[in-house]
Amino acid sequence: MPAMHGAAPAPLDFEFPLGLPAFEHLRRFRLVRQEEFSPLVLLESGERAGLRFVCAPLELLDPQYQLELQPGEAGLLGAGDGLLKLVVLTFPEEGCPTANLLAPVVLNPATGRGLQTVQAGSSYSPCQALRGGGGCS
Amino acid sequence: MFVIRRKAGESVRIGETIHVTVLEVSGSRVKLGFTAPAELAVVRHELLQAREQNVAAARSTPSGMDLQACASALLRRSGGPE
Repeated sequence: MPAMHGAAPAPLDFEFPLGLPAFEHLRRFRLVRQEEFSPLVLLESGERAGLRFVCAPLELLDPQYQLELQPGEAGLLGAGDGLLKLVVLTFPEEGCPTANLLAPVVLNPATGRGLQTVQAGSSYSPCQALRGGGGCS
Repeated sequence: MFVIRRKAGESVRIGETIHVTVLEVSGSRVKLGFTAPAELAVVRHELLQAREQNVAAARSTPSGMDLQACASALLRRSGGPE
């Protein structure tokens, strides 16, 4: 898996053939890594200015996470090792940031494709509180 | 919550136009079939949750300090350098 820490490498562009839930019409996203916010990364829309998602590496939030791609998702991502697995974070105006463990984002740098896979039937939370994060009292 | 017991092959009707049929029961999983007007979306609850959370995430505007605090917290969790 490509390093998610340290110096910021060049942004990577990804095509999301299905978009993201609630943003199905947006297909192009760019993964931006900024050293000062590492290990956080930004997933920025290439089609809607200002739309971005703050993400964290899935393995940092839950090393035991059991990710199951739904039928057809592996084909959409294409072949290749080194999938990047990210979790979208939400920063409410008050309270702790939360992580959407229910629907991780999976990126395949080898094919430049990505998707957000909803882990239907799992017990993962869409808004798992991140204690100790910004805004947490 | 209104509760009814149904077996495979049985159905319930919601209002005048929506039918939900239990197609198969296997272990802890139930296969349901829906007949509903085309204008009514039938989606898994988890997909709705993912949509709602993406909208909330897109609207949230963390400051640089928020991001750095969150990044530090994640690094502490992983035992990495801060």
